Amino acid sequence: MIKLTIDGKKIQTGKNTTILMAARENRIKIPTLCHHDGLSPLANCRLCVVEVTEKGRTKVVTSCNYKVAEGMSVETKTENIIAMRKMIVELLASRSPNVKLVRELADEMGIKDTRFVLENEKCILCGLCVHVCSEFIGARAITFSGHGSEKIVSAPLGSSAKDCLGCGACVEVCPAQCITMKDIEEARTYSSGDHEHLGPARLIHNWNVRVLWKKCRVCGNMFPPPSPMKYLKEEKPLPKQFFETCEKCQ
Amino acid sequence: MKVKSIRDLNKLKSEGEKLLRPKNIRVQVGTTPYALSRKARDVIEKLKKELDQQNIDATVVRVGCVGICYEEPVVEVIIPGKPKVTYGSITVDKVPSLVKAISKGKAVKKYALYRTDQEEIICSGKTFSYASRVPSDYKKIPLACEFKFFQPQVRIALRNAGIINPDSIEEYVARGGYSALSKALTKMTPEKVIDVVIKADVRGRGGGGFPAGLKWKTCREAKGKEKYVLCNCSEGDPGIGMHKTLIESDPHSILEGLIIGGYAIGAMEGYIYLHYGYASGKEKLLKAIDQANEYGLLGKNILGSDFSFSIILKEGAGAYVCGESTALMATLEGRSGEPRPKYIHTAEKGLWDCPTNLNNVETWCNIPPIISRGAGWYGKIGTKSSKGTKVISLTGNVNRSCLAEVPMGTTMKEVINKLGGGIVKGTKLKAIGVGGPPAGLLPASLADLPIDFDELVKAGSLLGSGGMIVMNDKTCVVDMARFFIKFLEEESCGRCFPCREGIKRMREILDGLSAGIGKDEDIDLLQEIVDCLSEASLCDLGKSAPNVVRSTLRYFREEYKIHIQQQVCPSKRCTM
Repeated sequence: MIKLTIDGKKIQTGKNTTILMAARENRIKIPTLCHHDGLSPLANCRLCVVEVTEKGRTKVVTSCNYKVAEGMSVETKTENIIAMRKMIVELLASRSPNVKLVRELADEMGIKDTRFVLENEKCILCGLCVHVCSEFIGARAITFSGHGSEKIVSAPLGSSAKDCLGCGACVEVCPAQCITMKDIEEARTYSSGDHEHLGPARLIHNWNVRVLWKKCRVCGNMFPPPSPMKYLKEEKPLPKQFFETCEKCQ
Repeated sequence: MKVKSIRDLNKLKSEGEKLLRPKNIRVQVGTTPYALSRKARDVIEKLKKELDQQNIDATVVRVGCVGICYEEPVVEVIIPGKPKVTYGSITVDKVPSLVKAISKGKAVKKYALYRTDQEEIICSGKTFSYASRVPSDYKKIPLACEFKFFQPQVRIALRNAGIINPDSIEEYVARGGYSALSKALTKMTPEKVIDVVIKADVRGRGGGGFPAGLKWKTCREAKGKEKYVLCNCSEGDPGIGMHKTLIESDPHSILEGLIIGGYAIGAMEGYIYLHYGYASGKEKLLKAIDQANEYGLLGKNILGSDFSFSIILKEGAGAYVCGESTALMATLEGRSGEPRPKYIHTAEKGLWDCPTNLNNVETWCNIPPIISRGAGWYGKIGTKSSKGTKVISLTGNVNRSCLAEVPMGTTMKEVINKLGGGIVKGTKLKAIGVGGPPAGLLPASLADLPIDFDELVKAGSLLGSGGMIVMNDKTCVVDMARFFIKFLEEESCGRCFPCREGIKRMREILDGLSAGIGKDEDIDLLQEIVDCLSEASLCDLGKSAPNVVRSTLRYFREEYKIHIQQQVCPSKRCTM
């Protein structure tokens, strides 16, 4: 066990714990935007900054990826830290004023008006969708493109995300809820006046993706896309019926 | 020919000396891109033609750059038994009279800049003499040490720049090249090499000034299957060219440094990272790597030892941020050039999660002389906390733009006056921008500050890569800050929130100020953004990005106020 203090409180925690985890175990709140418990830390949003004093030296670090150490002293709410968090939220609130999470954060920190020109970006560029797709799912279907203030998340080269499995993990982790996904009954292709029925499908608009669904052999119900199934087939040793029946009938 | 022992190396050395001091006449012309842009190629053609016509037995050699950019194209003439004479601003129509003088064995005083009777070979400390006796007509030409440009200089990294043919390994060896490598491999253990580097107290020339020896030690002691040494040739600051000069004038010194580094750390592979599209540098480096492979100075069992090492040249897409160590490694791995948090040092987990040591071109170039001559010799140069020399690229409102190497501790005023020939006539010094966009602007009153890592940080700037942009009183600092911030906005990777959003907002505010629609609150708002960015950003680029605004707010706050309150630009730069 490692002994440290957070905001003056003496804490014991396991090795390899991050400051953020240790703080949460002890109900000390540190705001985050790009952190997800199931994924490795990204440290993009910088909201979780804290002041750490180690071996007589004080520095500002992000708590989501900084590991605890014996005798460390952490301050999460100093004047300096609060000022930095406020500025980050203010910058964010002027980029994405209509994102619910950002508004809540701004309210919490007492930021009423931002002093910058307002924009209306839906995406806050936390990077969680790209991260979950590459690290957890392993599909690497989406990516960042552009850099600096023109950075966006998109399908490779702005076309359609060919490798998308349609699993919807990106939608699940998005804190800004800006990825739109829809399951439709009947997908069609149109070509020169004629059209072909493709059956049910899942659409993820942000990545220009349409993933077709499959019919259950037992009940005839449609069940989520075969492409993640194919991926699982290759990656995970599962019984054959898993791929032939829907969740209810398994 | 494979070089397998010190005897082989000595053989190569005597071959090189014959090239450097041949029996016939040697005419060398600087051919870096800047010289070429001033028609050096035409001068070479003309020289060859004239020499042919006059039936003079002479070889025309393309060399790198001495650093006197304002005098390009520079032509140097070595007539056997006579001092080397350097001529400046040679144009095509000056060539005939020059060749005529060469045919008579004389020097042309009116074109001559300086003469060199003998040179010190930095790697060995010995002197290399061209002439034992100076003819009377040569005596009128000043000696190199009397030439103003060389007075404040100590050339360690630039030791061979403009003297040797960068394509010739023999000439490099003749100037003491690869002797440090043979010393390290035959007489020193890796630990001893690291010990010398630690004792010499070399600080990384990339900008941060982190002690190189400590980094090497951490990397050597770190556990890993493979280890790597990298050379950062990425140079993104606008208007500077020290890496270019080093690469194009003396590529072998980079290789030698890297090989010694590899031996000390225990690496088998080294990577050189270069900007995509930098064709002339790539050509020189590839050729140097090929030669080193051919002579057995790279590859298996170097110089007959157990040590094997290879160097791979990699081109990146060339974003500014790729000069940052972790972003550079991401690029080498094939990912997009974005920095990652560095709480675990790259010396422990870098390229492909293996212990990796990254240094920049200038640091690597400094290594061979340190190994050859020892930490004691190196420690005598420079200041207490910053040892050695620094290559400075001087541009802006000075009379002479140039590239020079001065000992640490030289004041900025000395650099501007002695090397740059003072400020452009009729104007006064207003600010000095040291270290490129992410550093800061220092006011004229601080021109007496020495070039030193710690002193500059104390004043709110950075030594950075050593680019020095001099600004006179016709420059508007608000406009200048806007220019740098705009550059940084375009070059930010956009990964972390404060850097991406903060720089954009700073640019918006500065745009407003220079358009005459600034508000009183803007100064405080800028200060708030600066304070947030400098601590909360992810990488060092983000942390140092607001430096230019911070330093101008600190030293030129009045000028900001005039922009806001009177809506005029005192220097008449901003269009309001």
